[in-house]
Amino acid sequence: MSGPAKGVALSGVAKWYGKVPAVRGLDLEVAPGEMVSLLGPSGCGKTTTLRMVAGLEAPDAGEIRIGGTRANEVPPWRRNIGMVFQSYALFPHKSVAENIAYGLVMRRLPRAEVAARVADAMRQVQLQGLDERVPSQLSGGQRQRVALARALVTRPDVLLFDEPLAALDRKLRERMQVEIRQLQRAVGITTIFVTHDQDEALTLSDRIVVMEGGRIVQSGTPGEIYERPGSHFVSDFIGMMNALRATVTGRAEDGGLRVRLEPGGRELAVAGPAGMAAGDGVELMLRPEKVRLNPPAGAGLIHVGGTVAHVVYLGAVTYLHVGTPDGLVIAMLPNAGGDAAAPRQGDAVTLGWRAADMVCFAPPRDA
Amino acid sequence: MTARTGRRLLNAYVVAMMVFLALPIAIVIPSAFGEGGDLSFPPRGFSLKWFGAILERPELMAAAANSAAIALVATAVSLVVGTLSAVALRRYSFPGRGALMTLFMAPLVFPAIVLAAAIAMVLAPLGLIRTFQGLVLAHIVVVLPYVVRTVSATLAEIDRAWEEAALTLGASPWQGFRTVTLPLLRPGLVAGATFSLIISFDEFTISLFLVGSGMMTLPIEMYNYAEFSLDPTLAAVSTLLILLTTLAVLAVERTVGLGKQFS
Amino acid sequence: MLPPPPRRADPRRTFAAAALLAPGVLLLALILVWPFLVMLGMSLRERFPGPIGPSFAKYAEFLTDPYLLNVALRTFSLAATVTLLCAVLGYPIAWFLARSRSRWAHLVFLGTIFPLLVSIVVRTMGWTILLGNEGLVNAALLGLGLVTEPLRLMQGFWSVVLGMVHVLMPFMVLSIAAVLGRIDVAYAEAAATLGATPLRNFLSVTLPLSVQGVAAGSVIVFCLTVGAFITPIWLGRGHVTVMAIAIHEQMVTLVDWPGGAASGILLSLATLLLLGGYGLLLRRWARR
Repeated sequence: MSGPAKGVALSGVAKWYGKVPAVRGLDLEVAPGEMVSLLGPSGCGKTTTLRMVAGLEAPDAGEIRIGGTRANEVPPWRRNIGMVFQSYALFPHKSVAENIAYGLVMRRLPRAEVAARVADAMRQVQLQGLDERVPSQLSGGQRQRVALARALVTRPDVLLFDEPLAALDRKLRERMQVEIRQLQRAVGITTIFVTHDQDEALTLSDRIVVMEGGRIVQSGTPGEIYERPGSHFVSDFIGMMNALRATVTGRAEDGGLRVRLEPGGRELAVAGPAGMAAGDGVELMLRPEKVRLNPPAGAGLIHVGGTVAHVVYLGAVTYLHVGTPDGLVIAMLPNAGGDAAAPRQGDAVTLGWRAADMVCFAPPRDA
Repeated sequence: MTARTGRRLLNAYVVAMMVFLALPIAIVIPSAFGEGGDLSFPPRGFSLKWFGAILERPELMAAAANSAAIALVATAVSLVVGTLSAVALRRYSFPGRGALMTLFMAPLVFPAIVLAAAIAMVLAPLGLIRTFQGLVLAHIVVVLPYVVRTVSATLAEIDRAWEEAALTLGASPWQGFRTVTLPLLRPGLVAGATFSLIISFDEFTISLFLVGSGMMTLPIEMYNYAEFSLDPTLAAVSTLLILLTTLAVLAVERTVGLGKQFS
Repeated sequence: MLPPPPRRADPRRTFAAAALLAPGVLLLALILVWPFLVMLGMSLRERFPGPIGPSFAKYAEFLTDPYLLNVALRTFSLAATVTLLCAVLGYPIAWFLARSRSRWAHLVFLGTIFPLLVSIVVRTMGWTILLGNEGLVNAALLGLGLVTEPLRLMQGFWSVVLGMVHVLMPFMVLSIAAVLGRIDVAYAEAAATLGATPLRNFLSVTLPLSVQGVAAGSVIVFCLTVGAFITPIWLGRGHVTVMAIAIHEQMVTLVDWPGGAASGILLSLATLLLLGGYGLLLRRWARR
């Protein structure tokens, strides 16, 4: 590294495309050496945010700081960043070595140093011997590695990824995720990674920033985001969720909410957001892997009886769709032994889960 | 009708149309080698004398030299101007972009005779009629749409991400253009230049009001010659033109491929 | 929280675009727009040199002159005929270029654009050799004993049509092929699985989708025919006077510049109007 890693800070950053807001006043700090994912559906403003950090788009308001210095007026070619594009953007008329050397040549480094650093970078991403190939002669994974090497070889202050793995098949994608994460840790470079794939964000990041409609809706470690989603949107976007409808009946002594499940009428006490009053409709979100099949009585679980409506066998796990008096509940069962016969469609089963595993949100506005 | 007979009918039709398109061109060639003094078909005998006759026609030679020089200068200018314009029209968005695109394509569909007359009206008071400069100016307008079209078609194939990648790697916009865009633009430039050269060299109507004694172009000189005598000398000139065009097309086809430049 | 949208585009980018466009726009302003305005001014004079109008005398003259009106009518019927023939005859070639996986497709492509690149004087002369009194067609007919005297195949409306179709066909074929090539074959395949016969399939799916290409090709062919000079004068042998020939006559033979200018302006306006109406018609048909 050329020096200590630099952080990135966005404050009040906004971007309009004509009359359409793409990013609505964004505040984000990325610590030096941290790897942050911007996660969200298409059109949430994550790519625009990344491109503003790169300098490829100019923010209409707010400030972008790199390493503590205001960067708004700095053009991309003076920002000392490395970017891996969605399509890799490898120059089709240049060889692998020329592609990787491009940034060094632009920085007018002596030829010998360029050659040495290119060779180093190619070793680092295991591309030895491919110097003279052109991008069209490479496999998807190899192109990915060239793009990575090209972005890293200039020793940038910040590394930016714009959905770089979207074009790869699943197996290769998972391998590249691990490789990118290892390389990022080894180099210790500040990294922003844009993706719409929740698994990718969970695998890669120190911190995940979930975006929706040009805003940040939640920011936290992968564990925090997964276990304690802050809104209906986040919980729904990350991982499969059961959503049970309920009505608030009052406050519990411990500060939680007392709610009544809508169709069934069962009364429960759950942790809930402030500002809820009796009579408000809420949704109780529950991850399928927290639901247990035919649990022993007692154990402090909520028990619900129901009928198996549908069985989805996925190899490692099986999803049971169970119709209950309180609505449809999906349970995920690990396929450990294989000898215990899984329930079949039409079987009567009992499901159980801990009240603490349920998260309570106001329902989405359009529902 | 089965798909198979349908395909055969289509193939037969295409062959027939190819003959229709090629025949009036191909038929000129044997006529240049006849012995007789007229353009009858089939030609009688075999002779190369009509090619020699071209050399005895200084006006044809001079007109050919004029046309070549005009085509070269007009192509050079429109290549630069057209490339700049195509980059602006493809890579930037600004109000009035659509209208400008129409303006750049307008010479292609504007009735040529009207454009020719209008240009003559402007150039006449400036003393540019019957001058090399006047013809070059008029020819630039005619070939510019072709250059803008081929270059922007090629630009459309050049992913913006390539240019942006160059910027993030430390290249200034000019360096990025020189090292990434321009090399990738080469096929479009080669094709655009070739078409521009050929079109300018063959341009007839636009030159019509701008030529005169002392400054003729080859197509108009050939037409005047034909008015006065329709002998195989013209067929010989035409044969040379066909040969030249064929060589140019083959050269472009070999170096960059024609298919992409047209669709 | 959310700042208002900026009112103007990035001034740096606007400046760059303006700088890039400046030479081209300047050239076109100088040799396209300015001449047209000068011509407009010229058409409003009664004579040249003479006082600057405005007078509509030359327009009135044109619109009351049966000879010129006849020429205009002939010009537009020629353009319409040529456009129609190019579209009908060229469509199958475009289809072949866009859809055939034949190894000959590339050769057909070259065969299509090659005539475009050969001098128009050469092509027109080729027709003379084919159609002249001692040309190939007459020699064949005489040889076969089908006729006893050479037919006068030149100097008619239809010989001009033939020459123009030959010259302009490539424009039509390339326009249609470009659009056809972009239409996903899956549409036609979907229609076929839904029970459309090949003909109905073509009429209800592919043809409407390719109308844009026909329209673009038609505009080019129509305009180029309207402005054409050499093919009508050579293959018509003075018997098929079109507007281009008439304007040339007015300007060069009669030295009536205001008259020629008025004819030119009227020709441009009429072309624009006809094409506008045609575009509207096609759009309505495609949306049907």
